[in-house]
Amino acid sequence: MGSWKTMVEELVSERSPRLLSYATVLVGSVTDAEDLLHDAIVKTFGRGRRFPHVNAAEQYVRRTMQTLAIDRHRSRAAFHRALDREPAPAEGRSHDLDTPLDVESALAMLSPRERVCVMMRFYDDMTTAAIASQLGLADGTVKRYLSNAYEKLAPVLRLNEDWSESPDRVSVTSKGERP
Amino acid sequence: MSTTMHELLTSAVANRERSLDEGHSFAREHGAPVRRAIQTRRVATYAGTGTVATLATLGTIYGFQAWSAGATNPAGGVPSTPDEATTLIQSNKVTTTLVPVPIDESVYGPTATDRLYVYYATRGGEEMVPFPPSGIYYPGIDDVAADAFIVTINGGLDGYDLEGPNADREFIGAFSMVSDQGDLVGERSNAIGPIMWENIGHVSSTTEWGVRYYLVDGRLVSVGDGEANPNAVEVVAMFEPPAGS
Repeated sequence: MGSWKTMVEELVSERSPRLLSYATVLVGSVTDAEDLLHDAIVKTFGRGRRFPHVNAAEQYVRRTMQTLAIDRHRSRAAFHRALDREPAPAEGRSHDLDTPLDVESALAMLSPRERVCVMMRFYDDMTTAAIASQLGLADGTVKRYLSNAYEKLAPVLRLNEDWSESPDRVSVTSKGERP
Repeated sequence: MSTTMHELLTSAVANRERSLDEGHSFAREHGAPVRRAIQTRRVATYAGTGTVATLATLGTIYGFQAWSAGATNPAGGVPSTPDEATTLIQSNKVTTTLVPVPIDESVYGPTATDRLYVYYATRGGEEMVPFPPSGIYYPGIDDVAADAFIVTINGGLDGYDLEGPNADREFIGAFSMVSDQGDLVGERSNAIGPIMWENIGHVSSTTEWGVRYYLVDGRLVSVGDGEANPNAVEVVAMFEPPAGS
């Protein structure tokens, strides 16, 4: 068995739960997450890329999912525009501020780009510059996405700092965890 | 309680992972399809720029090369080029892109000039077999599907004996042979033009890359006087880039 096959087997068998979980939080649906992870693994290994260990492969697949998540949203939006018969999925949804939300539900209020930026910034500990580079966006655009995300998340997650201005490890309070 | 956004997200992913562990297995459901898709893409990647784009859009076409070894090819001459074969096949209402996959000649050095090309194709632009398929395999990669594969021989098939669909050999039963019009040819054909060998069953194969594959127990095609020659044709599947590429 070729080395890539071994790596894929190891990645899928050992790391797919974590990757799928990440993908689910990233895109908000297990079904979409499965597709995303599937495509990311294929894209990662389909071009002969080799990795020294499965950790590197996992990290690369995760980065690929981030990019694919954005690309998919672009494609989907373009598709709906082309059809001109069905509106594109709403970017985020409104929320009754009196109802507590868990983190996933709160993230569902964000647009796909905002959501990906938040995950990359706060889960993957990437700088805004690195996020911008990977997603092909301007640094200012990423900051705007984070700022917009903050405006949506702050009321429901009781964020007590504006991390669009101070993005490093700001303290927030989950509404559900308040006494 | 005060926490960080990082902690919130980490907790969300961890919670999701715990819930997914119960009754969900991405590996079980996606493992084989992922491997097939990777395999396909790698074949496409190494097949040459001229065919990759089309291949990528169709998604069900695979290719590999085969040639006779140590046997006389009565047709002689250089092998059919992909372009020639494409034209021929398209003229027979087989919509496909031919994808000869590079062969690692360090593993198997072709000594004969009578090279065969074996291709997979969809017919008429329709997916004869859904992808991923159910129970359709082609040699060289287990679990990977092809609608059919097409053997083209330079100058036609005169002088070639083609194994039929029901030959009593270990793996030959996995194949039937159909003509370029989709008709069952039978055990022997001297027809001119591409012959489609429709894979209708499972072909046992090993999947080590770069090794030689003996299609249907080494008896895909026998050459010459009609006597079965297990070594007449070897089908080589190459799914890794040649060394140094």
